[in-house]
Amino acid sequence: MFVIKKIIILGFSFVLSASLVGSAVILQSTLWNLFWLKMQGFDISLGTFLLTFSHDIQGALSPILVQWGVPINFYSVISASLLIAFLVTFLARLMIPINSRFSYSFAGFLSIYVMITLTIMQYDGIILISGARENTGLFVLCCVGALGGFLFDFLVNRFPGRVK
Amino acid sequence: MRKYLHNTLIFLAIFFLSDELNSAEKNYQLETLSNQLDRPWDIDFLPNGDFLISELTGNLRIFNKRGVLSQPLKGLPSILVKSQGGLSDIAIHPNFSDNKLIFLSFSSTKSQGNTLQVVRARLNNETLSDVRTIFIANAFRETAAHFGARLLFLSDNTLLISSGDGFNHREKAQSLNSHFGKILRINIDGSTPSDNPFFARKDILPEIWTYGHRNQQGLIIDNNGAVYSHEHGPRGGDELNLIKPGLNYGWPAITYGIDYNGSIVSPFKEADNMEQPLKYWVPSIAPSDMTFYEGPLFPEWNGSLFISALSPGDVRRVTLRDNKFESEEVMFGEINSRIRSVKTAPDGSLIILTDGSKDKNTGQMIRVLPN
Repeated sequence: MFVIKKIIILGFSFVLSASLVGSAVILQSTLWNLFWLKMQGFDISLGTFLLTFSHDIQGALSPILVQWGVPINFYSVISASLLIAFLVTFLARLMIPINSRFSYSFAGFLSIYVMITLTIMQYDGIILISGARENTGLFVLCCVGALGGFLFDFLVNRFPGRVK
Repeated sequence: MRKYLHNTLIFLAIFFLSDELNSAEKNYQLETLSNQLDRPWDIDFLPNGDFLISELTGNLRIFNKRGVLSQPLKGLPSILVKSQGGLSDIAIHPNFSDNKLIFLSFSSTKSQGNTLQVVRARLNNETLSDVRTIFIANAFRETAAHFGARLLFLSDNTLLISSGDGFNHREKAQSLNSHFGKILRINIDGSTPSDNPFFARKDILPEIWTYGHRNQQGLIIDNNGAVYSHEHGPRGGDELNLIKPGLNYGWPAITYGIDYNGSIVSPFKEADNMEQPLKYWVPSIAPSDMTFYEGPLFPEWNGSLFISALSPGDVRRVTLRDNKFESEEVMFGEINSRIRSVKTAPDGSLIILTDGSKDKNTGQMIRVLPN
């Protein structure tokens, strides 16, 4: 029973943090694009923002590429990056006693950075997330990843008492 | 019973009519001239009947009247062959018979980054000489993507050059201080014509003819002097545009496409002082080249634009009326390959190049002749 509860908590924490990171990355891209349009003199109302953001969320849920015959959407790419990073962190912490909040935050930060770098390498320098084309934007996205790691650790450690 | 007869008659009518239409559509035959090209990109026609072919992999070859493909011509400058970069367009000077001048566009690496470069050279008996750089785009990027790279001679012998947005620099298509996302106009010695639309403005690069483009790989002039260009959109939003000097074609402020990650590039599809396309495609067809057809072999096609498409791999015959889109016909899908280029040969046949990007030396050159 304990193991099942633990798995549910881990799964719930991961899904929540990955969803948050995915949505925040989308939000950053939306804001980035709309801010540029505003600078060009376009009228960006709250309605325009909400409509664009909701479309971007839908877009991130639609497949962006088919790999090994499986359609992959943007959320899956982010989730896979975070999953690998958290697994590596979990294994590393078995050997090296590092503060868990710091290590998962760092893993989240690094996972977004590695994901974007690998995508750039895969597509010959093309950056698919428009908000990551400048260093400031890239840093913000990595911080979003760190926030995801922080949230994951926070949620996992919030429930052990109840699980026990 | 009456209903049964009615349905049967309709079925038979459709059956025979569609058969009639099919045979009417196939008024051509395809003849493969070569199937050993290495990622062919463009073809142009020399006055002596030879074809000049560029390969993205950095080769320039001659396909002569006897059907022999030459070895790569020597004397080309250093070319960046990577991703979408490489040897691209060929433009033969309108007075080639006298001056032997050809013009080539390609991607190259400079200290500031990768960019689009144009050289002119003299071609004599399969030998290049007097190779001179006449233009280096102020569009330096770290990627090897979205160079545009089409060349077109106007009737006054000035040269138009399409320069893409470099993918990662799309916002600069709206900036008049760079050559990203522009159509440029220069003289054949590389100088700037004084009647360019922004020539008198000190704060704008004088070569700029039009702006707000993405990755324009089709650039033609019709027999009335109207210039047309098409450009790749992102996910959807490929455009065919009527090009007029000084105008803004909107990218990325207005677009019918969305970003590759599914997000919106811009929620706006139109805006003041930004041109609307004559036609746009959602989903994308990935337009790769274009030709204006005027020839004796297919009189029914006279006045049509033929647009080659990489995705799914066909050619679109587009008709316009009064410079407005009228109709589109999907053709040559039976080639079953990404189509990189389509050109009208001097004899009125169409010449099609397939992309050949899957395997080395598999690009095809196909001639379209009447049945």
